[in-house]
Amino acid sequence: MSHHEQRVRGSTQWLALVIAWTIVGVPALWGVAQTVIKSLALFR
Amino acid sequence: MAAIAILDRERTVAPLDYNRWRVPPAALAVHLSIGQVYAFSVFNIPLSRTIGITTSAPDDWALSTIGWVFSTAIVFLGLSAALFGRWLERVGPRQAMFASALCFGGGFFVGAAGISSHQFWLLLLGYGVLGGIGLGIGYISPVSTLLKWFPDRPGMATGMAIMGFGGGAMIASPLSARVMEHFRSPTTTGLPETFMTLGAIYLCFMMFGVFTVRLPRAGWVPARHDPAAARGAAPIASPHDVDAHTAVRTPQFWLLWIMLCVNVTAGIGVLGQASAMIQEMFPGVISVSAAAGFVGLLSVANMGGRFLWSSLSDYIGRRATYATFFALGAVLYSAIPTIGRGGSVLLFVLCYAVILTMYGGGFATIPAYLRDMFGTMQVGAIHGRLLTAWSTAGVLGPVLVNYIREYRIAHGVARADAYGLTMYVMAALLVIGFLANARMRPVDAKNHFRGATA
Repeated sequence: MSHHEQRVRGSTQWLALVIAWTIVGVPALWGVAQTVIKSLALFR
Repeated sequence: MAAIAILDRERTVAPLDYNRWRVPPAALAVHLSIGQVYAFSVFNIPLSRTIGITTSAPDDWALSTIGWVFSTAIVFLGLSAALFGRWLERVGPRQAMFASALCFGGGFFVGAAGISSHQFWLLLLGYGVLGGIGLGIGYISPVSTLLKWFPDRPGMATGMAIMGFGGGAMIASPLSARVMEHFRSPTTTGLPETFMTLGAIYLCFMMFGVFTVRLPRAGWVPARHDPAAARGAAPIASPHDVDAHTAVRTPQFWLLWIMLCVNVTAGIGVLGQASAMIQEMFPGVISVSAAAGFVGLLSVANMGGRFLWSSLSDYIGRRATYATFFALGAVLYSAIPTIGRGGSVLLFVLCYAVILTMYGGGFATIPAYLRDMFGTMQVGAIHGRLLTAWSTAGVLGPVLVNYIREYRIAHGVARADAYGLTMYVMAALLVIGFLANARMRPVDAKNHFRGATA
């Protein structure tokens, strides 16, 4: 595998990693944010 | 056949330069989906009004009847995790996660047909039985894969996935409410459409996990990983594998069963009563909406604890982590009646939050403890069988809390003081867990697996 191919493959791996974490991270953070907002009622 | 072949274990093996951090999102996709089960209660009221729409009609299902759907799903979770564990180890995580997605998503579709035709048995069969099987297979399917990818940080890896199960309800609860609102009209509750939509969403989301998950090559180890040094943090850990049939015959399995059972019994018992408990212990101080906020806060603590405690266990060892759960838990449970009488809401909330981190931490750290004792060869199957402790605790916890409370109130104890005895009983259970953990020793060499690996 040439140096260029290695770099392309490395970049693709990183992109796939970022996409994978975004797909699960966004709904998870949305859910946590909704719960935290709801829990603020305890401190009002 | 080509579509089926892509699910084969051999097709799941990762290339040499594969980044292992792509595997936890696959596990999270499954666990965030199946964690929906904890938000099933958002359907209770609409399910009891499918005919009457705005109020319950005489032919509508009673809330006590609807409660069986959730209970059936949890029972089938435990049964399928125990029964399909060895199959999962044989066929690999992709096929198991695929089966889980079909069962869990399909459970919603069959459930929608049951609601639409007002046939309770069909709802029970769909969400309860089929969905419950999806829950059980989905819960255990990524665990052994993560342990193989992260031999240097097994607690953190499985903690991440199991944290998803805790977080699933946080997504499902507001999501379900919004989808129901979208489909609701003066002539329908919109539940069949909601179930169809949620089934499709979860099926797609889980399929992302199915096609992302990868197994490491045989003999693969992460760079700079020293197994001997890793075992240093877990002095009772063994490099030997034990097969599932043999594992359940060892005292170590049953000690872990007791530990999981008492930890979950104590946590689940108070979690189910948290809203009523804080309102009754602080009458006139805590409103209904503040109590709902308290329950939300506990969910965050439960989810965070799954990641934090399991990650910490990689550094201090599994036995020390569980010793902390049981010792600190017993002290906090015993302190709650005094704190309640003292009137400090902040201290009460703080105590509960710490307790709930340890409840979640107990779930999340157990796969790594199993790996320490029995190796990774059939850890998914062994984990599945251990989850029967969860099913047992699911019955024991609420029964203990409810019956002790009702007995005390019936005998003239004030509502604010009715939980005191329950807390002491929970603390005593945790002492039993502490003793079981203290008795943990490495598995006898005669039980080590000596055949060819599956």
